[in-house]
Amino acid sequence: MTTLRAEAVRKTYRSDAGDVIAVDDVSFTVEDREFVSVVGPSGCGKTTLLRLFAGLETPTAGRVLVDGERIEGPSPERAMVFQSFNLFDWRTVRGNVAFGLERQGVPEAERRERVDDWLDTVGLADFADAYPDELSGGMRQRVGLARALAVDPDVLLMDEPFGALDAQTRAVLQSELLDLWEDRRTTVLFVTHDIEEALLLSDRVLVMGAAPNAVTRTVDVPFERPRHGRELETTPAFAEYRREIWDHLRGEQ
Amino acid sequence: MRHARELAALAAAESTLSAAGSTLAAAGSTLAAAGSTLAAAGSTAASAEPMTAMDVRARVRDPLFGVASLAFAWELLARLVVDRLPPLSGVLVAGVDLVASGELVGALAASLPTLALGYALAVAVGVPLGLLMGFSQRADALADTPVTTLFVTSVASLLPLLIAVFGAGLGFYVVVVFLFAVFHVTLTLRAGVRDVDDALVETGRVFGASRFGVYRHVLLPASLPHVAAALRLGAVRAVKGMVVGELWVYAGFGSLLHGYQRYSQTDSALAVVLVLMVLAAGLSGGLGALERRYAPWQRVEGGVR
Ligand SMILES: Nc1ncnc2c1ncn2[C@@H]1O[C@H](COP(=O)(O)OP(=O)(O)O)[C@@H](O)[C@H]1O
Ligand SMILES: [Mg+2]
Repeated sequence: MTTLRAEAVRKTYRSDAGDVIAVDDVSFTVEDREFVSVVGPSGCGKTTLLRLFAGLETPTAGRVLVDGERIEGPSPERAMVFQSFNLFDWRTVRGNVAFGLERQGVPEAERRERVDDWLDTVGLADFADAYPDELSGGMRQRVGLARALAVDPDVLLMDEPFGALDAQTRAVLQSELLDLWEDRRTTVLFVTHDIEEALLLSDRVLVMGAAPNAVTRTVDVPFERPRHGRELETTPAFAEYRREIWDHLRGEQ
Repeated sequence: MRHARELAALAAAESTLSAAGSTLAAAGSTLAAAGSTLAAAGSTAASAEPMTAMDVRARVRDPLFGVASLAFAWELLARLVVDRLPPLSGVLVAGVDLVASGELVGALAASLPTLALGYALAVAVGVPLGLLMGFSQRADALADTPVTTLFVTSVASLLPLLIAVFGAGLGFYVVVVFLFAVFHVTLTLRAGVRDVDDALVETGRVFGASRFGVYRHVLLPASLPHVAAALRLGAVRAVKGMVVGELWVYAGFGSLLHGYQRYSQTDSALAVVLVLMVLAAGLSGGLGALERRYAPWQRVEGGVR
């Protein structure tokens, strides 16, 4: 059971040019095992919102809660996947995936087994001993995903995880994530600026606008699961939703 | 009076050194290039884009070609244009004499211990200090002014003071080598550590690293390539320090250079310069090889990122 909750959250950054309100009075809940996406134009506060839930930032006002408890700092229970991968260059693929388990003091033998399982799952078994520099972008993000999943988190926080990949690789990884999630069903907060990606993956889409940086609309996505292989993107219903969100975002500007 | 002469000798030798400076730089980068070629050849198995045998051959051949053309240019220049520049062939012959007469071995025996000692001290102080200054704002605030002040101070101008303090013995040479190298090691490393991406530190925290764990498992390993770069720069600086110290109070290579300079044996003096060049480039290349052995993720040309 893990729910995320934002209550009237505001985050202000001080900068030389004056205060910047990165997130302005945002409230929402992500239910247990729900996949929620946040879409919106760049600068609207998506990353800040995710960092608040990661415990990397503290709210200026309001509360950010996990299962009703205030978030005190980062924790592997809320594992992150980053747009720029943030892999540890000096560790092999296996070493990267093992990082969180090492910090938790999981014994070597068990660690190796769990890590190798995840490498299998994300299709990197043959690259266990490679270094990140030797991998393509898609493979690197598979490492990022395996590193996050290996710590068996309650929540996955993903910040435009496929934003740096080419269209084809992105599509492959989206459907892999879909399969993985439909198997496991952890609570996910997923940031993207790709409306189709949000619709394909999520149970619910939060649409954010800029100035004020707030959630302006919530869209329930009722498509049946499992969604894999249904070519959802080609259905009229999908086009309808895409259009609705798109129009809403355009109306905001 | 004596000092005026020594200063003149120093200036003359320094200018000899700097005349050969471009040669040194070129040969240094040749060695480095050859070294990285070997490393690349050694790591092809693991590399995502294996180099073909032709690439490898080209990368060995091209630097060698560079050295050969430089040598040829030197020879031509000396024989046809600059009267007082001894031709490379003559310098090489002088170099053979240098070895045969035992003078080179003598100089090495006198100089290497001070070089090793001074460099070891510079590393022992510079690496922890540089890491600390990079890791901690507090330590940096404390150490920045003294370190930066000493960094911009010309060590050569401190030589009379150093003699007064340490006498004209082993201590003097060691301290000169130390001072030449230590600040470069420290500041290179500090810059490198600062360069480590904050996002990696945050990633470490997200995946459960404690405060200490972030240092141990993120900042330290992320800084290793910078340690290697600092060690290489330090080694080159240490060789310079050794020569300057030995030219001030004649010993080892310094007395060789001085002697040849005095009797206008420019070819022998240049042969000594070549030896020093090889020594510095060799140390730097050897450290580069160590880096590739212990930091194999580091595959960027030149080794510094
Ligand atoms: N560390 C920071 N310091 C100052 N301003 C920031 C900082 N991080 C983000 N901002 C500002 O906050 C706003 C929201 O940024 P961000 O959350 O990154 O948006 P998004 O991820 O939607 O593009 C932007 O105007 C950005 O410039
Ligand atoms: Mg962002």
